[in-house]
Amino acid sequence: MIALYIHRDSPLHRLPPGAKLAGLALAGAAVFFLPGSAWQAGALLLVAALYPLARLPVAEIARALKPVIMLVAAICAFQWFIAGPLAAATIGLRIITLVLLAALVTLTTPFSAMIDTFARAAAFARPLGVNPHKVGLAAALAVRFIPVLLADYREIQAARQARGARSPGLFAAGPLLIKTLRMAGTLADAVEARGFENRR
Amino acid sequence: MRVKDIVYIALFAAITAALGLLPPITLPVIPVPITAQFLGVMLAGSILGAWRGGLALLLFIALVAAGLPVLAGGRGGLGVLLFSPSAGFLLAFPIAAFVVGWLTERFWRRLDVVRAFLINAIAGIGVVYAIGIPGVALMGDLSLAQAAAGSAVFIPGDLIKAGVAALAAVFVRRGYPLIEGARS
Repeated sequence: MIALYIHRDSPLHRLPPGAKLAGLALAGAAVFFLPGSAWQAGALLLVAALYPLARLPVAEIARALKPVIMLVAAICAFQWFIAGPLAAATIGLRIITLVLLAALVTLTTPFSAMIDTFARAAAFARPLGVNPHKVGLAAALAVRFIPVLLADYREIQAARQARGARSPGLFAAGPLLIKTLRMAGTLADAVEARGFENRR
Repeated sequence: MRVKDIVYIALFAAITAALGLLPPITLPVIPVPITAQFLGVMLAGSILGAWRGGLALLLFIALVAAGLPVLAGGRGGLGVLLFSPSAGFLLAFPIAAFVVGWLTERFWRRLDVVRAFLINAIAGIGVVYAIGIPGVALMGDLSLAQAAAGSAVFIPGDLIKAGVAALAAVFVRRGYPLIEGARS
């Protein structure tokens, strides 16, 4: 599994993740309430200029926009139809700016640094019974489980095909769930046997 | 929360992620490709129950936020999660899993495929759309009715997922139950 992070040496990469998230929250709110399409266009140029500053290739801007572009186009077309081209431009520019800004944080922050930040933030919820060690364990386990699950799915599919089953893959869901739940139970016993429960 | 619960939470976060990596299914009846990720929400709720199911989806959201490209189509990151017009649907996942789990616990002793389907179809789909549609309206500056009309094309696919989740939940309830049916 390859995370979206792109390694470069830039001022944006060196900022602590917490600062970037706080900055994103503030800048995001500001962009959201900017009036008029001229301001929105200015904000978009400013955000786009941050990509070269982070030493990211300009193609990353296109890549960051790809997942939302169809939806934005549909909304813009609809807005053009009901409220005119100016409203459509304002709304389209606003969404694109916000998506680029947030994607920049993801592209410049390593996955593990972000998870560490979340786990440290979870420490504030300690009075509620949250254990940051367990948050970290859950995240690490989930990342490790993904390839295991895909391998198990392929194994069960191969077994079903060998028996001549032609039904869709979703019918493997039941056996796959029980197989992985058993695996998870065994794994939990192993973690418990190493005394994880006593870490505070 | 015991270690076993942590492992189950991680497992269902991973299941939801893995569902996003499977190729989308296209059915001849429905114009929109069905992405299976919502299935993870329903499975987590109706197999793990309210708290563990909700936390599993919260962990999934955290993985996406941290930059793992596990949303359908290899998407991920804060841009898609927070500011895509469809962001509300994703952010609703933990709450939907919690509500589905809560109802599943209430009906645990009498849970059959029909009840499990109704819980997933009414509560699961209801919660996700109740949060997702205002999200579309907010980001696209649309009225709620316009946003709802645009989102309605996905409902048939989601109903199929509710059916699959119900079958799987009842299968697992029989073979490897994880919810204690103290209250019924």
